Amino acid sequence: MRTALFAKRNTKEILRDPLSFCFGLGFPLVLLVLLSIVNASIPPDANNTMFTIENLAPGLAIFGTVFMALFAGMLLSKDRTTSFLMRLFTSPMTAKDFISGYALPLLALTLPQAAITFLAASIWGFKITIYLIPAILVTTFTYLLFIALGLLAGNFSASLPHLLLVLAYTAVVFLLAIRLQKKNDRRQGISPPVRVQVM
Amino acid sequence: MHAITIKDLSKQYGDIVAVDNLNLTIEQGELFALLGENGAGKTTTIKMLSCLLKPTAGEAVLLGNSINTRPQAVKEIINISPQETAVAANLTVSENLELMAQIYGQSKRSARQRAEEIIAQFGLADVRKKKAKHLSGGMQRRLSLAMALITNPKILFLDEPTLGLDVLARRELWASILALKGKATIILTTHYLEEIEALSDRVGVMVKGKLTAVGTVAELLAQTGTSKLEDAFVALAGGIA
Repeated sequence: MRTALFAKRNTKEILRDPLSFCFGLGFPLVLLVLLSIVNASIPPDANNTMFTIENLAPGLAIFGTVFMALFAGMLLSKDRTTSFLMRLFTSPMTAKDFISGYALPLLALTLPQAAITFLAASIWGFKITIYLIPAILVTTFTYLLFIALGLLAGNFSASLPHLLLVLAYTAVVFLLAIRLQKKNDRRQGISPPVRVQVM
Repeated sequence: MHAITIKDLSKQYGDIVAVDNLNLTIEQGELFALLGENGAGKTTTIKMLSCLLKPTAGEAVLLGNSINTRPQAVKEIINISPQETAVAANLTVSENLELMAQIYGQSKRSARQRAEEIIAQFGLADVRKKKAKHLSGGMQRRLSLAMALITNPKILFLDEPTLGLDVLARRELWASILALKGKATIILTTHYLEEIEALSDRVGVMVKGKLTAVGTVAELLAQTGTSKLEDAFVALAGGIA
């Protein structure tokens, strides 16, 4: 009951903040348009498949998940700075009510966001098939990760640890990505680029 | 029956003692004011009593419920109006009030009815459909207090409720607080001495985490041999007379 009440309130807070809401939904679409234009200008001889719509659409659907971290973090930190959260902490609400109440509305936003990205991609030739459903579901799980990161970061708002935490998890994710890339390159027999010394 | 019984309540942050062995009883329906300079431990005391902070030592019992062993039961009977305005910015005045009422267990219909009563009581009728973020500072404070009252708390904590308000807005809030006297036990912290004289039944003076004096305004004046509360406070707080 309290979870549903709090989730409803958070949904209203997000939907009534048009700038961040439109930015969250619209930015992946803007990128989709721009990168599709980039793809159209790549000569076919280059054999570059990086920006083809089959690769681009799922990538951008996942990219949209980052905005959930932004929404969650901003919502929580705003409640904290206005003391609204302090008021709720003195109420009979439990930790489960808080976490579920923040996460559920964002989770509900993930489905339309991923669906809109894939549907928009169909304009550039992305095939809408039955496999779109598992694709959206997989994207939803990724959203959970970013919602959790956003809530974690939001808990450290208005203080230096907030920035440090964001920097720390960004660094960890980047280092992991680089390490995995190197491992894959080695497995596929790709040698690292040779450093050229300029005389 | 005592509404609040505090025994040896302490809060320590490392070497800093924010609240030092507080002992106090507050009767039901009483309006008790905590007076002290910045950093005296007033807000820390309120935070411990409202289960926002765990005490380092000691105990407080609110209408039979211990803050250490039954915090959830304590939360059912209290409410707080924090120092800063505590409203949901993108919700309307009515939505803010109904949300709070429902969180404390009222049905949707009952919450709506109670919100209407509170809106009338606090003069919020003209702005009921306005989002909280579009209200003036005074109106937001009024809404914040109304959100604390809509749940019919048995014990209400008001942490500097009129801080930063102009004279008229402050007087309007005083009238709202006075209307509650006797219906709920109220613990008020403030820097404004005239607020204490106008509202409180008893006053507790806190200095560096310790409760140095408790009594009515008249008792504090008699105890210090002064004619003004300001002089009595300076004498009790160890300031320069």
